[in-house]
Amino acid sequence: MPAHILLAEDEVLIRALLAEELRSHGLVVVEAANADEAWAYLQAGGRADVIFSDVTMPGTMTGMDLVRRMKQHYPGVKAVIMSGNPGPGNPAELGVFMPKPYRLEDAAKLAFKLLGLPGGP
Amino acid sequence: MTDSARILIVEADLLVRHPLAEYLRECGYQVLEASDGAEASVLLAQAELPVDIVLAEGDAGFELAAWIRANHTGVQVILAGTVTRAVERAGELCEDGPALVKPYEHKFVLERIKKLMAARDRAK
Repeated sequence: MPAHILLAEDEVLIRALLAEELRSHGLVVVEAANADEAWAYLQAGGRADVIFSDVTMPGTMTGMDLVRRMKQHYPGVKAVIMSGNPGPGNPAELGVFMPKPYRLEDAAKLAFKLLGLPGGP
Repeated sequence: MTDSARILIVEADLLVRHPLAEYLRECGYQVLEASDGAEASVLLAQAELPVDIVLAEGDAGFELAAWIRANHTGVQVILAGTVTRAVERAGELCEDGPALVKPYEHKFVLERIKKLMAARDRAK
């Protein structure tokens, strides 16, 4: 069963391009349009090995809130926080911080590194 | 794979959208995902991601279908009023799909969606 990446990003084009890049390397990508959707997926028992989350998104939670909550309930899931402006708080305390803009290939390399898997770009 | 048809799924609920999208990917399609009509229109405007078929579930699909017919002629629109119907239409697309063998029956997609939704409701 391939590794699952949960991707929470409200900019649909960024989400689609990053998702396609990760899928092109054989990963399963779950696309969430905001933090609430990503949380509902986790609560439904959906599989996630790594989460890539934007910070500022519509809904009741920011990406930082989502990752903080996820660390409490699902400590095994590794986190990457993506933002051009993370706002208050230190994203590096919650996971790997990936500043925007980033190269899609670098994001895929990071996913494989966190998964501890050979291969990738 | 890069030459296979591209389907855009428009579905508000991730617990429906993701299993549907994965099923169609396993049937050999390239699949884009939008959570609403606004996201769908952004993806349809990308010339480098040409969409052949739009599969939309729920009431929002009707407005989107009219907009697509006016602005993106050549894109086939499939409207499904319910999740069950959306899964059935995905099954029909899979029958016509680029893969030679169906990965699994579409009824299993519906079962997976129902299980995920029940688990989410229990967690609320």
